[in-house]
Amino acid sequence: MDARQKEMLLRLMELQFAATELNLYLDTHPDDTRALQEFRMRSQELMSAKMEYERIYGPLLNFGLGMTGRTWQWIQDPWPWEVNWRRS
Amino acid sequence: MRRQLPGSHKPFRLIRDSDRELAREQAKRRLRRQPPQAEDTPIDDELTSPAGRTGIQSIASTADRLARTASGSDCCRIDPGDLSAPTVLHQSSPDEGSMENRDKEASSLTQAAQGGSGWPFEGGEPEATHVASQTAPDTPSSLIFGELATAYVPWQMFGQTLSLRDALRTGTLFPELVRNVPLYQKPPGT
Amino acid sequence: MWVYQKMLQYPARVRSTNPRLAKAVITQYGGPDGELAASLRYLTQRYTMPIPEAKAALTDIGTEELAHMEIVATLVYNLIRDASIADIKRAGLDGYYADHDKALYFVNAEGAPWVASYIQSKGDPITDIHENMAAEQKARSTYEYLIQLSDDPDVTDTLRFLWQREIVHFQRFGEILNLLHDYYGRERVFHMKGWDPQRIPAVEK
Repeated sequence: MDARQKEMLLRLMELQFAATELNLYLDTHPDDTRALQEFRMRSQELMSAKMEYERIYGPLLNFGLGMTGRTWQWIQDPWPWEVNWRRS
Repeated sequence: MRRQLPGSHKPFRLIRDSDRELAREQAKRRLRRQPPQAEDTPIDDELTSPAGRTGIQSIASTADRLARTASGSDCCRIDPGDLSAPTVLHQSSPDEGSMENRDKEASSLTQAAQGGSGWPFEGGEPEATHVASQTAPDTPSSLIFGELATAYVPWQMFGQTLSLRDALRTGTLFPELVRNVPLYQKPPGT
Repeated sequence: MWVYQKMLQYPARVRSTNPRLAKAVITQYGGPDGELAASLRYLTQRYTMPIPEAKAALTDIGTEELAHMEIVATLVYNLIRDASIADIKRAGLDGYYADHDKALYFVNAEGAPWVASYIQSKGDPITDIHENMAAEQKARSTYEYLIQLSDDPDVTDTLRFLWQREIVHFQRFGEILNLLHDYYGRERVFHMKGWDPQRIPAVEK
């Protein structure tokens, strides 16, 4: 996995984490307009970041939910537990 | 290895003025939902009974106190005096207090004293009868904090959020939830 | 249904092979207060929750715990991946090796396999949420002990992230508990026939 892919993946993790955290907050505060607003914003950013990542590196989601039209890249290594985050 | 956590040194407000206003408004609205008092309200009406009045004032004052103290880490600290105050909207059973009923009660007590009937001589099966609660039926948990034998966690209010990078590194998006791992338990020199 | 996303929730890193640390960390994979127990506990309790907020929170937190399970697995996998037989023996992992080689299996730090009795699904939503709040605290304590045991700063970094998540989840479950109290209100209070707490002698003046 090259440096650029790691960078993009890290950006995805950040957005995914913010969206997850807001999601949990909204589960118990469903009427909180400010949280909703931030959730929508993060969700959109996440979607476009995913699209961009998948166009280059293959699908993040399986079962037909991937947003890439590329050839079958789902099985491609590395899998998440095999990523070496250290700069080599 | 102690790491300076993002947000842990920054001052932030847990609850904004608008939230306090909202809490006050909600409390008022809840009180308004009580049935309006008619001129000829019977004596046993909960709202005209002293207990009822105290209850309403107490809830209002709890709400107000909560709203007033709802800043910074004070948000969940309530004066113990408030808790012991009778936060009671005494929900009398519809017929309680009427003379006829008092008589019935008295006679049943007499009977009980004579060993005639009632607990513990007979009955006593669990029955789904509602006990007059110590709190108003629809007082939200955010305004109680006072019911005994009940656990409450203070409500989080939406405030500032950490940057995306800081949120992921810390493990939360919300600065008010950031904690430091208690490293004092760690043996020295490790 | 569930969908897998081909990424970790947190960039879990391991600095060097360390089967000794793996032996301790694996308890958060298959131990009593580990992520498998957490996930399954929440995902099985959600069916009998009476309010939508509780169903949503249990589903979402249960799902996040699956992601944490993957993070812990990543740590353990990378801590033992390159270990030699000598390393494994020195770390006291030879018993584990005899049964599982270097594969991931749901055990606690002492090698006892995961059992369903680690978790409870009581049917009383208030009871269940209390159980979950306790579970978050138990997991938080375990992460603190693991951080004390860890001699790998990269592993500590990930353990700290997971530790913080327990606190956030505790807050969410606490809010769910508040909502359940509101939902039930006074209807939860039952009493014995003829028993009137207003007339308890000790209370009367």
